Amino acid sequence: MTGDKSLLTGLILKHGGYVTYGDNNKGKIIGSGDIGVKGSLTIQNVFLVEGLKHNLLSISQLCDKGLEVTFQPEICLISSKDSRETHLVGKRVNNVYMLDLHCINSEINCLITKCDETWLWHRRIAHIHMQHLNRIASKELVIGLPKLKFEKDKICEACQKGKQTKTSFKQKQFVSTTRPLEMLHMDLFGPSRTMSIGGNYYGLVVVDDFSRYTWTLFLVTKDEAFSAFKKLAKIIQNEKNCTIAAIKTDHGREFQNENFEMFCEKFGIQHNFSAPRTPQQNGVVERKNRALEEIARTLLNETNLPKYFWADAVNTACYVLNRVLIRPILKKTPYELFKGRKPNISHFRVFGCKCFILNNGKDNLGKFDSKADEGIFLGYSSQSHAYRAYNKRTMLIEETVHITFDETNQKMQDKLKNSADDEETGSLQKLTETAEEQNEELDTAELDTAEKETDLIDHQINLPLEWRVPRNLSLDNVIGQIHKGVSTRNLLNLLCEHMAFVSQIEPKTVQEALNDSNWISAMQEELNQFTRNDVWSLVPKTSGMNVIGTKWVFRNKMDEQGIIVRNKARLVAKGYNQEEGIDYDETYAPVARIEAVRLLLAYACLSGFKLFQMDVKSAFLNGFINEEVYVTQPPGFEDHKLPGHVYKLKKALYGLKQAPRQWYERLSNFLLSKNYQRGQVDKTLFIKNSENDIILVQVYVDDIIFGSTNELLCQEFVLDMQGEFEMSMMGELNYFLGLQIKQLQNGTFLN
Amino acid sequence: MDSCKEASTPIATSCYLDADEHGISVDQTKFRGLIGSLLYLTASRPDITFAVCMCARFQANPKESHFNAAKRILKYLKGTTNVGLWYPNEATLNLKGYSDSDFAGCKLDRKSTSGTCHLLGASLISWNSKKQACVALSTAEAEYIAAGSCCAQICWLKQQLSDFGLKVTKVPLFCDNTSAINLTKNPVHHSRTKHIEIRHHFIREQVSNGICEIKFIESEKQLADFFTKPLAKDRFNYLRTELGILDYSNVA
Repeated sequence: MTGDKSLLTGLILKHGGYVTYGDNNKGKIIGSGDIGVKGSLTIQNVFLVEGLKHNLLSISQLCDKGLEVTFQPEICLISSKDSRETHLVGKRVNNVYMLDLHCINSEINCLITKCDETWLWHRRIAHIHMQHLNRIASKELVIGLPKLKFEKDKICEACQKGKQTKTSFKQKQFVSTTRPLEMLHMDLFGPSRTMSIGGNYYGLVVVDDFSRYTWTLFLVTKDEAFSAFKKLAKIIQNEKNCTIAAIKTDHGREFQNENFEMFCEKFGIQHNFSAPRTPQQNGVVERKNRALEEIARTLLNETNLPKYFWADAVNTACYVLNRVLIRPILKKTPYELFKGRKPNISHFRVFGCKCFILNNGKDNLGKFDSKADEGIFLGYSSQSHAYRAYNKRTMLIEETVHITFDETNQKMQDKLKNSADDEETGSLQKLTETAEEQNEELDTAELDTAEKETDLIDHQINLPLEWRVPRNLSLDNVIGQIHKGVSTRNLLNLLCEHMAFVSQIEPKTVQEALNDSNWISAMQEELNQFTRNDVWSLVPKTSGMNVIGTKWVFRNKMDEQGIIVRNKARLVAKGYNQEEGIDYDETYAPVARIEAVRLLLAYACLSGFKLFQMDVKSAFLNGFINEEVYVTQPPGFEDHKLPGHVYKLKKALYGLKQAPRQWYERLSNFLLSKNYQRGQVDKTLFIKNSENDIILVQVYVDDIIFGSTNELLCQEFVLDMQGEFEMSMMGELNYFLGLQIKQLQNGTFLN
Repeated sequence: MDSCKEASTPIATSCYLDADEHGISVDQTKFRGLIGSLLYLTASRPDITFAVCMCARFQANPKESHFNAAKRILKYLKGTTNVGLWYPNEATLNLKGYSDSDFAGCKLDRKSTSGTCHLLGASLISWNSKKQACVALSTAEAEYIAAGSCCAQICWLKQQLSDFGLKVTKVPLFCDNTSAINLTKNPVHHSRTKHIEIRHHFIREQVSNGICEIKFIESEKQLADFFTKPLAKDRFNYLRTELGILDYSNVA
């Protein structure tokens, strides 16, 4: 009972009778409520009595609630009967036991310290999990641990910081889409280290959420992703006659860009992104990627096919998966879900197996020529009802139905036939030798031998060599793509990728080089240089020609730290086969003397101007030649359509005796035409005076040092040279003929 | 050779190499390879020129003593990897030539060694250490021959500089033998010089044409000394610094 309204919570005003006091006075009950102390300690049903000066607590009612009240000389304890837990403590003041509300508060604090103890033990036992603490405590496996109930009722900050893990992603138990094309998942994989036979480095995988029908598109660069997707979107929307409602991608720049944004806006497509660095949310396509790559790897490894067939392998994997995968929950294949009919897989064949392609009147066949070409099965045509196969004879990919398969496992066969094979290759080698001998006797020596050699090699390894890309691919593309393939998001990657694009070995023979894609691209680069400089033209061979052989020279270029930075392949002519008077006349070419270089350095230093250097790319390919010189086709790069032809040179080639002279002549003529004067004694020095300024140009074959008292003259010279020749490596003079040159503020240092 | 001790000079002062017919033969290819590499290095390291040229005379039949001498050069190089030519900015633009000879320096055939060097300002641009083609009868003759080859080089340098737009006249050629200097001016001492080949009198013409001017210099200041004989450590270091062959750390 209380007389103070403010103590009560949840007060209900009602007239509930009277209370009779000891002096027989009556107090009127005007309401009831709870005296609230948070939590379990609430004294319920307290009457509000009019005019009461003191608060009274009914002991009988406490006892009714299952509490025990013990009176001791100084205090009284109110505790629960069952657990003997003390809830309240009253103090004796004179003859009355008083309960203080503040005392109740302190009681609660006390309870919290009990809580703290569990956390204390949690911290003492190295932040171990509460459940584990419980287990130890309950089974009494250790001594000294109080028997407390360990509960994780709050978050331990240290534990979170130390132990937080990724949220686990639950498997979806339902299909969130209702029709094909409602949602498309997209992702990109690559760049692959090897270019595919079609010249691609990346794969774009698009998965339909409803049917899990998959499309793979192959790209040369990442930025093609948009145009490829646009094309695909048009086709599939037309096919299904319904529109794409949403696409889901990661935050890759190839997806998160203006083009995609505008496209989505135009067609009302919702573009969803997975949360940053959370590929799990893009799981549908990420897992598809993995499945495709794994299958492709398996297919390639089984048949030992070269890696540049990867795109075909991925394509086949995709084709097969669409037809045989089971969409969980819906229990149908993606093909059926998407196209609405069951797929027929009776036409499936083993990827990479040997096949025979009927020569279907494409080439003029002799009556008794073989009617079929051997090929490699590369999957199924997307456009027509046909198989794709790589024709080993023409070295092209064909799509045809006139094809027979040999699906036996080649590797297994090889193992069985091991001994027989050895004999065969032995006889082949003999054949090669005899062929060479015979050819040496013949006049038409080298060309034929080279041809036969390559032919034989083809038979021996039974596989196409890596350089034999179909001719519809222009050579300029090849080079461009290799550089683009390197472009990644950060510099570190760039460096790593770059390392992967440089071969660490120097091949001794062309055959070795042809097995390495890096060297093949280096050789392509060299041949591109030939085309750019218009070095030669293909002409039919006639009997009177003295044809000079060519060979490849392979060198690794290193930087100052000795790290290989470039593979350089150079096609050189076998100049020692040249005959004086026919193939060449004068061969002398002046070169700069080392004293002249030093003199120039000292002079520049004393006159206070800086020296620069530059280097002409493939300098000798710039020299015109006056004689008629013919060379063989480069080994490994013969034109298979015109094997009997030879190249007539318009410009000099490395290795030709007259090459240095022709280059010097070309350069000196060019410089003289630009009003430069040749030095009186040193013919490799070129000078141009303009008023008080002078520019000095010292030529050492293809290395050029130059410096001027006026910077404008230098710039003019650089522009002139760039206009005429292909230049590389321009900058301050720091390394020349093995001399390290440091041009400092107060002088120049050589060592 | 990686863990060898460093030597202060490329060749010992007491080192007089001869054919050493009784010595143990060493692999000729290896020796020639070593000499070839060292010769290439002389393009930027004039300090080893004399020592390398000395060793290079025995390539036909290398013995262990020659190989040891070559190894000493490597020892020297090990301690002086950062040494190179220093071309300072602040110096006057003038050409100077120095010529010296080591009379009968070669123990085998008693031919003398010419040593010449040329400086543009304070920059060493050209140098030469060469065993003379004929036997000299006197120190004066040996010096005279050396001065002749030095003069030839001066002609070339002068021409080259004129291409640069720099005219030089009366290039001083420093020689430490007064008799040889007199010989260039007047055909004196006929009785002792009548055998000297005509080609060596080329210098006389150049002097009279005013291309160069022979000047006397004390032997102590003769820089070309560096290219004619093995020197002791102090003298070697003095001349090396004078020629502007410095360690990179002293420069930058």
